[in-house]
Amino acid sequence: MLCKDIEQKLPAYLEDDLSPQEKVLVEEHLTSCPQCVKAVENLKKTGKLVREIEGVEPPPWFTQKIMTRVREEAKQKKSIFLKLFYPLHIKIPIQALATILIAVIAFQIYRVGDPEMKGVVAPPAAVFDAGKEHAPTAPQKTPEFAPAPSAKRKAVPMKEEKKDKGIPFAPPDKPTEAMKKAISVRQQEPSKSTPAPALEYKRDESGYFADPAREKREYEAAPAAPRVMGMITSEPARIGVVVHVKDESAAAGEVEALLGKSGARKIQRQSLDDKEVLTAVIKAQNLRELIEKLKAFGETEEEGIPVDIREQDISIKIEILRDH
Amino acid sequence: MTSRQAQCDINICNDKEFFLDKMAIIGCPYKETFRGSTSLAEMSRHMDHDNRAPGDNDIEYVILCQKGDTEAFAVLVERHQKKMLNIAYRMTGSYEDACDVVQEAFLSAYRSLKTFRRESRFSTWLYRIAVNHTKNRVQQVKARARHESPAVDDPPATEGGRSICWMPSDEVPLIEQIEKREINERVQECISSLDDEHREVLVLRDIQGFSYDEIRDILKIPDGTVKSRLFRARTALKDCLMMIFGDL
Repeated sequence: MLCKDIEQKLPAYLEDDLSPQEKVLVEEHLTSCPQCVKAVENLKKTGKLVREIEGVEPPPWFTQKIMTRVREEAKQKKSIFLKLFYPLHIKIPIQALATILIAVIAFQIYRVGDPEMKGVVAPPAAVFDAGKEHAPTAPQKTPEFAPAPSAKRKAVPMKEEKKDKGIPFAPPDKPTEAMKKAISVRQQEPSKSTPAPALEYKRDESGYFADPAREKREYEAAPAAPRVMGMITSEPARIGVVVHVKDESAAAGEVEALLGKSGARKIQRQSLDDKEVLTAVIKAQNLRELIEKLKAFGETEEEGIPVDIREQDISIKIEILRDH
Repeated sequence: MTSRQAQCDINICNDKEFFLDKMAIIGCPYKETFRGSTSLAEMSRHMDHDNRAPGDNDIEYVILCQKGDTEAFAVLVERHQKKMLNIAYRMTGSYEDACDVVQEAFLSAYRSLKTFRRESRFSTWLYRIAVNHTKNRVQQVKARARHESPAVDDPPATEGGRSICWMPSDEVPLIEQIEKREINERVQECISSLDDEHREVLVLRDIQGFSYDEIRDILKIPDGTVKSRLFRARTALKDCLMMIFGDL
């Protein structure tokens, strides 16, 4: 074994950290190699020198210096804590945050609470524009058709409707003036708006409008209104009421009269062997009153009555059963 | 309780009631257990039983600090500053750098005291922070030296850049003192010339006298690595000293 290899093992040899075989090898080598013996001596002396090296003392007031910085750090930590929780410092950020939060929540409630309004938002703009656009060109020439006012009239109630739809928790049994107006307008709507496409089409043929692009726009815009109205009035809420009476046919007659008084439309009566079925469309505000009156006939069971009545028209099915 | 009392070292202040009061302050659940104990030694055994790092006499001050008592940290600074300073000084070779590093290390330890989980002794944790700060400083100094060539008007290099006054003692003859100082400077030069990883092991083992287990915990390296680095460091130091002094 070379002196170089032995020399590498010497520190471990001095620490007694060699395997027995290695230790024997090193010891055998040391007996015959004065150079390596010298290296062992020098290693021992190096160790002594290093161990005897004097330690340094900390400078005066070293603890105080460190503690001054530590206290500053602690103070800073506390002040951060204070900044976060002391009301005066945080007031403006908290207010700003609260405002944003309220705005977000309000927007969410508006969106979630009024799903059918989403469909209405875009089309009225087209209807309104179309009405305005051709109004100055042909108001004198085609007073009998009056497409502009018709379109405008459709747009106006919708705008009003949008306003009170914006109040999400309006009490359903006490409709506002605007709501009533909207309902009354809409009830007139089907008869007036249905012929609109036909009129438009006729006017196209008679060649009142020279600009083909405008004609096309007109043609597209006009039927938009009834389609939109259809979205709102379609699918009225359906509820069912079962009334147990002794004489179903007599009671059915009275209920029919009652429905008529309550302003119900499309009243249909169907007589089966031991029950009478009456269906009608009734205004939401009259519903509760009607149900109260029905209770006077006998035991009633209601199903499908929504807690929050939003629809103006409700389809009601009254089954009058003979009480056994 | 005044801060002076709080700083009283529990080992020096051999007062059982004081100890129990301190336990109450830090919210120690074993206060009643201690009440029945006859001696501080017995109490200490209870403490050891609970701690994962037994025999850590810093722990009560650490707990006080963690509870927000900044002044309790002064005791820990007082206890460990000298050893930390010497580790940093031998590793950086500069007294000023060592002082800076120790201050930074204490500050860093104070900041992260909440994260100290008592898995090791507090001193081990603290020295690890000091060693890491020192290593960073050594790297910074090396990087700076690479980019800046020494200026002509730089102050002449003293012992590793040390500028504190050397006060000769009256007990030993002056000539011996000068000789000893000269040798120390040479040894420090050789220590500074070692590789970083060799130097830190040599400083911790041969100068500071840490056990292999402590070094393993401080440096977070395996036992075998500690030893192999140490042996290489010793051989390299011997070679360096032989180059300077000829025969030792």
